[in-house]
Amino acid sequence: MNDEQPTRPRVLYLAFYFPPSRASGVYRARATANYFAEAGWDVTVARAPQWFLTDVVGSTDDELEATVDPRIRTVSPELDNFPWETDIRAFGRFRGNFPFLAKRWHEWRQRFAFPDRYASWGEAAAAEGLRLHAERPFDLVIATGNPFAAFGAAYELGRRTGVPYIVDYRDSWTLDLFANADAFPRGHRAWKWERRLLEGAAEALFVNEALRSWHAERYPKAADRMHVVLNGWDPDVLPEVPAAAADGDRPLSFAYVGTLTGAQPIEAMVEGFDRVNRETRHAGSSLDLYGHIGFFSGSESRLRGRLGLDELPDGVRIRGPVSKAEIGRAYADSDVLVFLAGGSKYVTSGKIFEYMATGRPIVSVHERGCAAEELLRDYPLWFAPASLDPAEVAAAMAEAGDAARKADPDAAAEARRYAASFTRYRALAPFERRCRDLVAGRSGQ
Amino acid sequence: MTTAPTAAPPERVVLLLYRTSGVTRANGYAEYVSERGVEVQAVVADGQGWRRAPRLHPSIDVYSLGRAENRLPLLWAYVALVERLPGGLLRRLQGRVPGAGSAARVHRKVAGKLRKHVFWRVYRPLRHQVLTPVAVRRLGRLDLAGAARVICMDEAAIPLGWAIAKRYPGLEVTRAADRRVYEDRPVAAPDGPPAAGSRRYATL
Repeated sequence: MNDEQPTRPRVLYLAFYFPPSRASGVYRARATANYFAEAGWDVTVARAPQWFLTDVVGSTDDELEATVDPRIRTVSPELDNFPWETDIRAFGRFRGNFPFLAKRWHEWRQRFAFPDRYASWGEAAAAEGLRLHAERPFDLVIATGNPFAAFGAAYELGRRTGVPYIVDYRDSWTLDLFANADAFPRGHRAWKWERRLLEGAAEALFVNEALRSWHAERYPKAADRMHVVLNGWDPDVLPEVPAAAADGDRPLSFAYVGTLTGAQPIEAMVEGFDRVNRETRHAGSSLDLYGHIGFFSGSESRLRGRLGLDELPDGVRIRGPVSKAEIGRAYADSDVLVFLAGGSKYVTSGKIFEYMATGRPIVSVHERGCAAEELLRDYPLWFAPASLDPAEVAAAMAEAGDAARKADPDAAAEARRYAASFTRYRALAPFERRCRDLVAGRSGQ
Repeated sequence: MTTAPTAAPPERVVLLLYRTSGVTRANGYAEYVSERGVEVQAVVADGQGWRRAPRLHPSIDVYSLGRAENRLPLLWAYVALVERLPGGLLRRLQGRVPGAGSAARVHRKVAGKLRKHVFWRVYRPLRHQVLTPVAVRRLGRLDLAGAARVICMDEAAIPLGWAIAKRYPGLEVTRAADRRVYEDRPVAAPDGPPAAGSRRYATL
């Protein structure tokens, strides 16, 4: 990993959500950029403009930004703020006087752009990429979505410069993960674009096998270039969580760590816990909810009401977001971790790797058949209810509570050993090797 | 001689509401901020198309543009000539002239279709433009200079918001009903919204 090599391969990484963003997918982008930089690549990251993170998303994580390798260069291509602008003075005379005409004009222009809300960022990223490529050529372009405008930018850069590009499906674009159905109607331009960019990509990456298979079936011409790069946990972010001590009397602490959204079965979790707290041998327990409510801070108070978080039963506490420095303490204070996930067999949720790394009992609260089950199946301290019926959830929670009280050191050690194979860097290593081969193959031509 | 300190008036937010689609959002916002001691006023264009609108939250003081809208000459002429005059006449003839009852029913049906397919098709794209100068002329009653912010609750209210922004350079005029501004304030009225009937309703 010598960064003084004269011929460092150069990669442009199109990652809209990159630190200081605190979006849920940001850890994968951070790890990918850091890993490539450590492996000797000259990495340039194109990320969201700062105003979008502060004014629209409403929060940033500066501590996370400090963990980005200093050798990584970041640029922030501009984004047309038409959909997000709220200051009437900034609308200008045309939009201020004729808001509907201005909206129609904006929508009409979108018909010619990449079919994504962030298309203007993709266009600016492609322009910035071309400018940087002219200064010193890139060897590879990697784009991570969402937003999928990053894929459009990668395609455009590949078309204009001949540089191979790789698309990383952190999320799915044309598949609605929560409904298990197409996200766009037939004939929508997104389908044409997805086919075009997958067939032109050097590789396409997915976070689990279910998603890879779905795409391989839809786009057989690109199937042999589709790979799975699992998510993982980040040892530099998650300090070692001390082993729990056996204690038969202390009230148990259940915890969920992550963002709460409307797609998760929160009601089943809360009702299940309430039963544990009232009806089982674990009375007096608490359920701590760590993390943000919703992805955008402006939506928090609306979501609180919709998710029923304003009237929670005894023992359930909303602890709010925890910084990188405090996450280890949050895990250390918890006896049982609740894996709350929305969606289907296509959803893995990156959080599960971090959960496993703690060696704590994990109780699942999600629909059966979730992709994360593949990983949890071999985790020795996994407890899954048969369904989302509150009685079943409560039974699984109670069993997990028993395991926490017992605190079997062998089981915890086995759990940690199993989790150790799921660090982010382990998942990225084969991918980085393939990228190196790809670049070497091109330069050897 | 010392004078007793006078309490500062509560912070005031003015909502601009042209379409019924913004009512739910306005109600949620008004409930949230009024619980935290913020006064909420709303300029409401409730003249046309508001008959089936959801009720506004009792904490909102309503300044209605309804009467001013209904008195717009062309609008008044349309309603009078196509709906009220023939409708009223046919209603009076019912029971006196044979066939007047069915004629009244036919008129109601035709007038309804005309309203839906002709009136609204022409008036909807113009409504916000027509109402903006009407509202601007009446803004004096609201003491906007003393308001904390003006919020356009729907897109149709933007031209009025733009006109206000031009006239009051220091006033925040926004599309965002951002509750975060008041989230640190303690809930001052935890006993629920004011009783129905306590709300002020005035015509602008």
